[in-house]
Amino acid sequence: MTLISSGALALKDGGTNPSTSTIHDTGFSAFSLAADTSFSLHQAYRLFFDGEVNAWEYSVDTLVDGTAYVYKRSSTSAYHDSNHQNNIYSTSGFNADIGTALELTGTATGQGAQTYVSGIGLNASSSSTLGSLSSSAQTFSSTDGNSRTISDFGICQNTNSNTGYNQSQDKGNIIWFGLVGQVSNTNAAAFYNLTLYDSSGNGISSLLRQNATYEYDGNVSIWTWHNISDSNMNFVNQSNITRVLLTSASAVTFNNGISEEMSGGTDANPIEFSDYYKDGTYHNTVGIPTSGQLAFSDFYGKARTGSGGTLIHGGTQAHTYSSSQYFTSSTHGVSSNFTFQGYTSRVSSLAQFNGTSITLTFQAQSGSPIYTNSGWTTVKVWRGQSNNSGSPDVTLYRTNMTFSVSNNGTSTATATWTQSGTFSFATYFGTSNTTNYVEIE
Amino acid sequence: MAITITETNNAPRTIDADGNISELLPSTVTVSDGSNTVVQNIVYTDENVDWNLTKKLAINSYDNQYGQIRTANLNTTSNAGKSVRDDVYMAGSIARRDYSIDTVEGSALVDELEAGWEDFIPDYRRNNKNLVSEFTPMRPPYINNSISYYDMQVPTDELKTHFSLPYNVYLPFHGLKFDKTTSDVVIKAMIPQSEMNAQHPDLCKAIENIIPTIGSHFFGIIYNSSGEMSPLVDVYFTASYEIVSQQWCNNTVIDLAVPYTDETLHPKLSYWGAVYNSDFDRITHLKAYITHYLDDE
Repeated sequence: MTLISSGALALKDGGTNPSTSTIHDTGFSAFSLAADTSFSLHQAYRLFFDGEVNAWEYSVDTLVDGTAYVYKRSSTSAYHDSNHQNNIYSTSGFNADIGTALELTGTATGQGAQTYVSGIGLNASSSSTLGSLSSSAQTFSSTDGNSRTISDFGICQNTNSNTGYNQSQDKGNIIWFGLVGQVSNTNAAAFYNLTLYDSSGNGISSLLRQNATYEYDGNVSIWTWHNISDSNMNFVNQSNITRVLLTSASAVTFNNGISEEMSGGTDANPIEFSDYYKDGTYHNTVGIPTSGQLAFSDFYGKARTGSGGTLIHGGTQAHTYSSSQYFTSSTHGVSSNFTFQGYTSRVSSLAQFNGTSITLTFQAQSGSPIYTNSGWTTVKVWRGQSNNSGSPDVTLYRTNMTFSVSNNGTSTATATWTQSGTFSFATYFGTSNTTNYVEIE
Repeated sequence: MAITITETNNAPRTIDADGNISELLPSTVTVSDGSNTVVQNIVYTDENVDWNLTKKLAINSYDNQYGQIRTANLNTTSNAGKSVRDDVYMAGSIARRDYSIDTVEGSALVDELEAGWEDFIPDYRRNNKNLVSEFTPMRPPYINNSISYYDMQVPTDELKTHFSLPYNVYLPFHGLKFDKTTSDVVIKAMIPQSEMNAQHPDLCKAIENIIPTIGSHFFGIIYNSSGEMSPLVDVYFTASYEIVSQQWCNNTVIDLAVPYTDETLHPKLSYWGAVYNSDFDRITHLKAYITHYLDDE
């Protein structure tokens, strides 16, 4: 579980843990957007083949035009001019990360061989910052306990008659939102739903992250929604959007007790605040001092990392129990991605068969890992839970398992640990089809 | 009972100053049989919405809670310890019958194995619930009449060495096929999805792209004594009859007849088995395993 990010926090237990689906609410009057009349999106296309120079001549199509209302945190925000150019026989700079879903393939004019060239060009103000966001609203904690900072927000209603050849005008109505850094495109790491409000309280909701186009440009992670109806765009005063609300898919319970969270409820009276330094008795949570001044505010938004180990991954995995005359199995669906031994990986198998063998497999999701028999100490499972509240029902130790690898050094590398023994299905990992919480340290 | 599968895409809504929100249209896949409904949120592959995968996960979730997985679990649990006969249907008729070796029919076939392939494995009667059958080949790679023997344990180290099996993780059962003409023996190694994905990722992906559900499936890979892997791969999955007959067999992805049509067999349906031909990237045969617990019959 994650501790609350603000409000009353108790040393031991603050009573009923609050549940909310709100990840971050800037509140009204947080945003002040700047109007950028220079905004537009473009895509290059081949115009015709010039036989005299044996090369294609290019032209540029306008996809989106109109006034964009923008918050831009800094020069490294996603909203910046791409400095794209049409050099007649070549193009350059069509590499914007906002609006990439509008990119077209195929013919540009419907005449013969003219085709669009991949990449979006963005015209934007040269200012390093645009608009403003109140300082208290700039950062928040995602549900996976990480600190996030808003880098971008923008909205533009397309005044161009189309969004490229044969594309409707309102396809180019776009809204974008960005966070500093490489934020995984997941509910836990980012958000599920974004709602924007103007100062009158009118808003556009159901801007689901899963429906946005996601890009990471090396500095910020940016989500862009497009194809928003004119009626929705006209419903709000785009120039006066002042509030953004980020919510999770379902209510998340936050812990309001430091000891409850950091000791897992194992500490008993007298509860001493000094026990909750990092690397102390109960936890190894990054961001908490190891000595000296310790404040309650240090614990806001933190999720416990266990002592003796660094939290590698924690999240829910769907569990399936299946019994036939051939075999009985308890299996989990794949996990979300995490970093393991420096590579983006996921749990592709956490299963037991016939009550006699357990299998844990990590699978590469990027790069070409060379997995080794190291890097994690325990796997803990909370049956039927969506969080790590209380003690785990099962703890697996890597030192008890046999290691093997497949396709090491390739993009399909997997690392597998197996353990033989006697494992009851009630314990490992349940006899109902449900969701289990799995934590790897 | 018709099963409907519906894809719903999201569009942004408006919310007015009084908090009134326009109609919600979430992005989901819904599976419903008219009485029971499962809603699966869309999932991503490589950061793009994957409707195909979402649909398969939705089907698996439905079958877990209300459909075939639940039915099969109940059937197995309530008949634990009984002798078994699996009727394997293909193209409308029974292609073969697998008997547990504690039946009269099964024991007779084990007598043949002990006589013809003495010592190939230490003990053919190790587990009463091992399955055996004699079959006339209806599909490759089988050519001659053979005896099929399923042993409810992972392959022994001796078998792994004999057939040069490359896997790290095995399901706790495997098949041996004894050719009555040549006396050759091949093995069908049964492996979970994770191992298939680890050892044959392209093959795994190609097959999972075709089968109608994901989550309960596993694979059978055939090896001969030269360590050669057959290009014909078996994939087994659990899905409701309606899903397979209505949503899968009758579309352009797989143009095969439903293995059986007798609705009274539905409660006994354990698995579907599809044969994927990697040379042609298509499913060439579809089987249905109907499990009869014989003490009641």
